[in-house]
Amino acid sequence: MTDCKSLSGSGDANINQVLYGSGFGADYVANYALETFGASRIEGGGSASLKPDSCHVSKSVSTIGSSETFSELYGTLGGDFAGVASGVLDGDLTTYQSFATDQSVSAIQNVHADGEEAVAYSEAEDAKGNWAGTNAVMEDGTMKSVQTAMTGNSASASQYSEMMAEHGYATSYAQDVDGNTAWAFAHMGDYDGMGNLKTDQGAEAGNSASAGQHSEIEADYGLVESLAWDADGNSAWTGTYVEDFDGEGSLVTYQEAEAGNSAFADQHSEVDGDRGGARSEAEDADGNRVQTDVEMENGIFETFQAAGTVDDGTVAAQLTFAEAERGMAYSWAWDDVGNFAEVGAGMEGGTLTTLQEAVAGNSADAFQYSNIEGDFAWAYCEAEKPNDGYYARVENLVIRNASLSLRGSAFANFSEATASQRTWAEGDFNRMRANSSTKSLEFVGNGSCESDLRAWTNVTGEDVEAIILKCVVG
Amino acid sequence: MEEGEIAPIAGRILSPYTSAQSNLEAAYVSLRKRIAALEGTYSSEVLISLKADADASVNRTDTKPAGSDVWTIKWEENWPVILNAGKTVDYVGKNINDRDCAGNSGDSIGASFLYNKDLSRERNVALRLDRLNVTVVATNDTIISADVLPTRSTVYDISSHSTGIADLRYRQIDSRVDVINLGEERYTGTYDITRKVEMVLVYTNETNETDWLSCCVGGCSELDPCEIASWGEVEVFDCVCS
Repeated sequence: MTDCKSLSGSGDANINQVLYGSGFGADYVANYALETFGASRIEGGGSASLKPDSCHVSKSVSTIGSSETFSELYGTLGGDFAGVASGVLDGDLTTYQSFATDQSVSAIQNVHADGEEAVAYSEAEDAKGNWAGTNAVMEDGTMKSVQTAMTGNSASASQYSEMMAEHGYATSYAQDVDGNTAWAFAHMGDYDGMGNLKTDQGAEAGNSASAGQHSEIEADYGLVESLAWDADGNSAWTGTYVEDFDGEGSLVTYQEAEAGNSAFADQHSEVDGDRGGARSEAEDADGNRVQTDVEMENGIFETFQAAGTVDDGTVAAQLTFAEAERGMAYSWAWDDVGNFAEVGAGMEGGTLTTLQEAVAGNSADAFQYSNIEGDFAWAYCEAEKPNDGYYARVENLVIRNASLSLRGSAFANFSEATASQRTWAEGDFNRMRANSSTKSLEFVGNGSCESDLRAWTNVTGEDVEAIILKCVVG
Repeated sequence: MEEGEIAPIAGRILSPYTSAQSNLEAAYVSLRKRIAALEGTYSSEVLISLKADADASVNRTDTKPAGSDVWTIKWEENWPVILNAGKTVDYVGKNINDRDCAGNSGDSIGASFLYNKDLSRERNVALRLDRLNVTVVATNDTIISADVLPTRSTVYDISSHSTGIADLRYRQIDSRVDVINLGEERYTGTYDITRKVEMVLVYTNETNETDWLSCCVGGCSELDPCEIASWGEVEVFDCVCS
């Protein structure tokens, strides 16, 4: 059967088509539906070519000034499903949709919407239960999205989208038959309705799930996230946000999320705004948890972050450069018996460069390499073994004309808690501290100081040791 | 060809209207139309060409394998029908309802234009039925299966300008009379629509040579025949792949 059509006009339209093929070992069903109300202008066309074992269907419609238009095209073949849909409220919609069956099913759509609300989504699920989808949603603005959904032995979804609107969302998700799940999300809000969001997205399933994202946001508010959790109970999350009430806030990110035998989430971010932050966190099936964060006010930061689980624990890491009025980066690890380790670095009115990692498994472990310049510099390393009351912390604080370089670590396991920090500090005011469960040491001065601070507690009764290598005061 | 004004008759209080209907059937091919129009200007032109031949006798063959109680009964009917029809309608007035439908041994397609004040349309339909084969598999007590296998084609071509409701529908069925394709569309407002639908079903009397061993051969179809160790009685009669 073949069906070719073109139409133009105005008013309402309601189309329902069900197309079947059977009897040649590849039974399929394709459905197309279009509904529009009150359009001042409609133009459309389409064709369908059907054989008993395969079909190709394509539909296009363009509506102007409708109160509602919704168009969907989906189908199944041998238990595989693929479909696309798009709609708009109080606005204009131009959509091209196609669906085809060969060895499996695939669906594609190209959407441009302008209105009060618009949505476009694509989904695919194969006969085994692998499932993937992607969507774009917009409020008060314009949106364009090109989407694909397909299944072979695995599901897959992809998306390219651009928006200028008051609110915009773009999401991709994948879940395989084992329950491994990955998810990527981008959200933008702008009170003037001039916020931008641009994403490439992706989603897969199969033996493991996967989600991706390239995003660029320029709006009052932006948030991007990636999330992965596997069937064994491991999970990882990474996210970045920006706020800028002038509407000039920017956020650039590459993100990924995986699942499978272990979950993992990555990100690269570049943030420029009144306020911004990025975080990555992970938790394994045993309850070991890690997190790494960066926060910034009135400036920019660039960070590479990752979080995930490894063979016998979980890990989070970041490499960050921040130039801002305020900046802070910290990482912590918490193992399944409560051992805790944390490192952090902060600054005001300057720059912060830091490499941090936190690992939790049979122990909690965190370290950092940081360089700080500014009006204020602060860095610390802390470890705690709360079940036995062991605690260790070292800290450097520099105020005014501050410059601080350090390498520090914190570690806690079944028998000890240690914190150490090797620093070079210069400023108008320097303070160094080392604290353990029962003792504390403090050095205060000015000028420059090269120091090696250590604090630990353990079962042998050893407690705190602080070594000041060289200080020049004045 | 019909052309004229639908107008009130002096001295009568009834609203002027016209209505018409026609049915055309030959073998399993049919063409129907209904028109009702209120006051206005109406013109229509219809051209129909029909050729039907029902002279040939219907062939019937009955087969029943020895030892089986299952009959296979086949009818072969060669009564070809060719129906070509063109139609145009132009109307401007208070309202017109114009519906038509073409059927071809179970397939059907049609259009309904309802409550139109301004309607112009052109429709061409070509219906062709070559032959009809029917296969019934049955025992003395029950019908196991029945397949109606016409060789037919239906082409429906429409171009319209409508200002009310435009409904387009089609349906295609398979040999078991199950619907395999279905389309329903409604347009309300002012529309220009062009559409061409072609539905073809060709029955070819092919015999699958492996059907009689479908259990075994089908089940082993992915095996390399050279690698099949043996085709002994177990493999053949117990449907076991070696």
